[in-house]
Amino acid sequence: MQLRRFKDIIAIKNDTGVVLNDTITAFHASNLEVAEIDQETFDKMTEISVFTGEIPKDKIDLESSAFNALAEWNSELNPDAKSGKMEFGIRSITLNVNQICNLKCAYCAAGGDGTYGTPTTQISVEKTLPQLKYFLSSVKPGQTFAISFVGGEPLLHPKAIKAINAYVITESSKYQIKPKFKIVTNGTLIKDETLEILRSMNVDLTISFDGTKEANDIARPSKDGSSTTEKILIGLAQLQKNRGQISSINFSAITSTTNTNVFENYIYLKSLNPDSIEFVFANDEKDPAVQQKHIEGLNKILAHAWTAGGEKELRKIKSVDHYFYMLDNQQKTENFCGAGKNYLMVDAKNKLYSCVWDANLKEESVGSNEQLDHEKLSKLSKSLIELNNCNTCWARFLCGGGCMHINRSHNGDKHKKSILFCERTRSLILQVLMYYKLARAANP
Amino acid sequence: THIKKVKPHKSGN
Repeated sequence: MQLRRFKDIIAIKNDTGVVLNDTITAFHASNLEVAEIDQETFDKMTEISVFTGEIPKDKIDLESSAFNALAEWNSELNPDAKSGKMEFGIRSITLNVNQICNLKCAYCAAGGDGTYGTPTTQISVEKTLPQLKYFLSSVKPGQTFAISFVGGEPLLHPKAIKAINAYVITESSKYQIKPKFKIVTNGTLIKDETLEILRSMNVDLTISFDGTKEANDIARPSKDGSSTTEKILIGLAQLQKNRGQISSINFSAITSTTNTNVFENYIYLKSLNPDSIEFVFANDEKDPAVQQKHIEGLNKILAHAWTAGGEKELRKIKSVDHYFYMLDNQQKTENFCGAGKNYLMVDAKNKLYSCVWDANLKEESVGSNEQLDHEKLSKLSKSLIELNNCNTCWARFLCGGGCMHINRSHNGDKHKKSILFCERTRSLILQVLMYYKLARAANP
Repeated sequence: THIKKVKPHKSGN
């Protein structure tokens, strides 16, 4: 794999893979344009590593038509590339339905047991509804308002989810808002009344499911010692027989110290026929060897998916679908997440945070109930690309500046980048760019 | 001839 850069253009030549041919894929970072370039042009660019976001020195050659073509492309402005600037306005919230769980996952970032350090049973629906009414009242007609139900384990309290879901649908219709619901669950409680309640809602369902039975049961053990995977499979079979109103069933798989066979996990999870699978690297994992396996596994997955079913199969990997969509619509991302701008986390006590991982960190609270601390939020008003010093990185408008929680976890400072995060993000984007070029060059 | 841009398909998660 050879990676080169000239100002705001990078190019990648794949000389090792069988699936990706050895043509050269180029990407204009601020125009979000993808192209194929010839070897002569590639030779006018400077070699860089995937670890850097800095701009290298130019190889100036004004006599060369290839160099001049490159310089001209670099200076072009693409009128179709849309800004990703985000004005303040809460459009998306994550709700901790509770802060208790029936599992104790090895890498759990919610205090190790789903409690965030403060075990809390069901959130008060009575307090939550006026809080949601307050947020809905400032959403404009026609806009989307998204709620993700998480925990703890949200399906320990399905009736609370249903009550909130029904209320938001009714309120949204008053304001002509489009509500969107998601539940992130460990998938072990999908039976009986919970199954019926799930089927009655138009939700995107994400099951945290790390892979093969062996891998998943080690990474995600249950507190009572029973097999997590067996319980998921029972619930999944019921859902696949009849999913009711559920709009999608997705898996989210975590790569962690005990679980690095990413490709084997993909083959197993794919056999269960979900609508999408996402492969996420454990937030707090700091071992470069684990990351290397994650990157290599993901590359193998993409090659397998592309060979098996082209773009359609490739886009069942959720992050690939996301990048394809952003490239197709030439929509820049200037914020990796909406923290402090359009997103809030509501914990099981109705306290508010700008990040899902801040729950229970008192100093990070940005309000409670219907009160918002605008002074604290204003510290996040600039784009994350700017706040995290990503202005020269070629991946900035697809990545959006990275994750402040991971930065803090790795470096003690939410604006100091995690090198591991940057490496795996750039590596995946490079792969996606090569497949995107293949997909769009084949169907111009 | 050095650079051939691909065309996006205008019409995610």
